Amino acid sequence: MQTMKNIEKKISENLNEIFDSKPASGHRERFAVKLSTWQKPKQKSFTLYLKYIAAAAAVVIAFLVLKTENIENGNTATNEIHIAEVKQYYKMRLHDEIDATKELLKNIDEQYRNEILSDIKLMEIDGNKIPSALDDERKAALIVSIYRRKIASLHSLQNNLLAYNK
Amino acid sequence: MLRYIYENSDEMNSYKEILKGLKHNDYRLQMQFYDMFAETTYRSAFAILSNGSEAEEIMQDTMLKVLTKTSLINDNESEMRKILRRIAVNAAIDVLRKRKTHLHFEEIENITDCIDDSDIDENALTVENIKQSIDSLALGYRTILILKFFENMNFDEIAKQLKISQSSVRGQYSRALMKLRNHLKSNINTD
Repeated sequence: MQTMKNIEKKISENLNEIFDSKPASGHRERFAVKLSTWQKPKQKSFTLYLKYIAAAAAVVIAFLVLKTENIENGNTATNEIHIAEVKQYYKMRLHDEIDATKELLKNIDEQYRNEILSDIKLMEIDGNKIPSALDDERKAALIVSIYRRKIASLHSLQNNLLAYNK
Repeated sequence: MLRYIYENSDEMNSYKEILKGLKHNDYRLQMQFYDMFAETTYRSAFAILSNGSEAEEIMQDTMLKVLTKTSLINDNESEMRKILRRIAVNAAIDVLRKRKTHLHFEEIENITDCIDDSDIDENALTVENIKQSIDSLALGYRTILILKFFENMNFDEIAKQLKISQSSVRGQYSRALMKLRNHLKSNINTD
């Protein structure tokens, strides 16, 4: 039994020599390739996601344009000043959100930044025609709804950009 | 990215600096992290598998796993080394099971059949002899010895790792040592 103890002792004392294997040459280069191929798809998938968000925002805007063009109503406008105030207020809010989004776009690749910026530009265009046949209340509600959707799209884009910039 | 491969990484950053870089996916520091732990992680996988390419794959997958899942990163360097080795050992044992090799552990009923009380000449107990004898052991015995000595696991941890009872681990360990002793003895006598 003394020999058994000696064997245990000998193994414990010489672990590094007994288990002295080393990875084959070129292992570092092979890992570098693996690491870079892992990083590329991750970056790519996030940019695709951003593109998806921007595209979704564009679709929402296009949908709203079509929807407002098709709305018909027999009521007449009576208080244009009130409508203009509502519009002005939401336009201002939209611009604030656009500025905040542009700030977050600074760290994104130029190519993707430009694509997102062109989508944002579409948002800025006030191309939604409010049918004059609507009464004031419905006109205001429609304007609010259009701007709110645009702002909501920008918020989700900002959240994604914040996660990316972390 | 490949340009980094051929660039010298200048001087090695401290472990704390490397950790900071990992949070920002800093490629250069990720490679320094690899340089710091690759060899020990590889050894753990190789000790179990005795196959260089499989051990390298496990070592690199382990590194990627940790680099991509930063919750696995530990602020303490020696703890980090342990974590990496443990992940590599788990993966290596999984490979053995998938290989359907006989990672088989018999219940010990009678171990007296391999007891040989005669002594071995102390001077004949060389590292090379021990290394050869460990390699000659059946996979199950070798795995237990490696987990006990090289991975510094206790019997309970080995039992959980191999999904066998603790008493079986103890028995297999004693038997492995006896087989090792007998092999050493016959080796020495042949010499």
